[in-house]
Amino acid sequence: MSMIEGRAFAQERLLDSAGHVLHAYFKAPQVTARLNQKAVLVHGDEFAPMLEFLERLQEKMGSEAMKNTFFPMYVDYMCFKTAIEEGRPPVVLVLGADLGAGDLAWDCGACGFGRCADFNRYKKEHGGLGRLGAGPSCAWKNFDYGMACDYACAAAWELNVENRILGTFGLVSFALGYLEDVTATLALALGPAVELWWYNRPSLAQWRDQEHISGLFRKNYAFHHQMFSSDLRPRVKRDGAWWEGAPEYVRIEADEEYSRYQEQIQGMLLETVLEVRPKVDAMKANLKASSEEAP
Amino acid sequence: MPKIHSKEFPWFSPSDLNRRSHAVEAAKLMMNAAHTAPVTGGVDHMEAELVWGEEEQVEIAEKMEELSHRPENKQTGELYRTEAIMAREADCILLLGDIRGRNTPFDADCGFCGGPPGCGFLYSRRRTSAGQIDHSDKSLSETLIDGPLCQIHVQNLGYSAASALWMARTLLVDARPFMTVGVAARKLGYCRDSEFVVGILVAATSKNPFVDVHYHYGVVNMARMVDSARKHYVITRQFAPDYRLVPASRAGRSTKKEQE
Repeated sequence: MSMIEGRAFAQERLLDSAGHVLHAYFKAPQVTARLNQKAVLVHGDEFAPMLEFLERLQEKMGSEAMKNTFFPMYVDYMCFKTAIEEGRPPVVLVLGADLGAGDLAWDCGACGFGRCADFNRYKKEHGGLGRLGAGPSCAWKNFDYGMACDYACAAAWELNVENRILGTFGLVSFALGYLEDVTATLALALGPAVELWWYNRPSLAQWRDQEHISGLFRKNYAFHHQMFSSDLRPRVKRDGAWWEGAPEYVRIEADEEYSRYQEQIQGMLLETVLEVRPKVDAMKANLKASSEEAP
Repeated sequence: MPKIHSKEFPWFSPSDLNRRSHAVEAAKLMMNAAHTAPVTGGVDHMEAELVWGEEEQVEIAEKMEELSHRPENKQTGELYRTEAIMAREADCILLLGDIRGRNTPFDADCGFCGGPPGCGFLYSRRRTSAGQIDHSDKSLSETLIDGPLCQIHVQNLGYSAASALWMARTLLVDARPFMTVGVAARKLGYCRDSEFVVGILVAATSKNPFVDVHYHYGVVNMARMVDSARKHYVITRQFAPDYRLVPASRAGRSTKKEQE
């Protein structure tokens, strides 16, 4: 008779749940019957380049800048990092598809072109990368891709496996080329076996205090905090006895310095991709070689 | 003690209407599931409308048949006609619409709509003022769907539809999503806050009406077969003589030949 520590066994069996989730993803209903879903399961050492990418970027930008500029990305990074440090790393499913093939001939117009042929012509001549993926996209294929990803999430939910689908790490995996020939990727994190790991985000409390979060709300929703609306520049209230402090006002202005900073960040991002991507390429080459060797 | 009797045929009989009403209850739960789907940023992005009844479903099906003449591609026309039969055969139709894709994009500069330069692809193809898309501008609408649409919201509608379908799967009712149903229903004024609408057909019958269909389904289907049987049988039956003059062989009497 043997005994197995429960939490460790649950961790080990995350891979089983990943298999069920992938089944749901590939077998999801489709409107087009033409979506070619792709997926790769990433865990252990193969996940390291994603964290390395963000850590190198942080070295270049500085910690505070990283936290503020890539806030959602950093939040997710901390969730991964904390889980790994606690010895219960999540399994990641990188889910992707090519949404840029206009081969339905429905000519529905949802993409903005009158005919699928016009869509394909535009893609050839002007298509390219945005901040999260490549365009243009066939709307119905994108819809089907959303359905497939939702089925993956629903399967994880039904298994009661902690999960969250992440655009942030989808972007990282897209930039590092975990999947070939796709225009969109999302990362579905499975585990750890902890309640609401990806929602309560305990790691967030380490570096975000109440003042910080209140500041974020004041900045993004100044109208909610402002005083009399007819003033040319309404005063903005704050937590505590704001009427006793120096008044603060709403202002919208061009900010050349910040614009330059944004451009610098783009450069840093590209530079970091080029540094880390060869590691992912090498992993993919190993995967290809081993799958060719398999009988 | 009250009872509920359920039976598939004859169509729209009281027993069949009972059965259909149960499918409608399932579709209501599907509607809720659609609302709870995980979507980008957790932003409320959709509306839903549930349609059932012979008149309502036929209206949608007829609009689909009307639209089938529009696409240049003949296969696409066939798609509309085939799926129009399914819309008739469904117990109810759940419509899900994306209320944001046309007028209030996610503004994430994601690039999915047009690649570079991000949201500019979408905004430059709309009449805008004060940085807002003018929802009243229909001048560019020459296609069935007035695109371009924010692709983040389009993808989110996929999540909602899939959650509705997952619920159908859990409840063991048949359900399938269709572009053609959504487009036709939108033209009829359903989900009027949405430009991108998908129609999910729902049925609780012994044979899933939305799979295993064949070519020319628009004219070779159960309703047409039943109608053909009614048409032809009524003619053939008139070939018989007076039923009261039962032939001896069938009446259990010995025939003349036997008597001889």
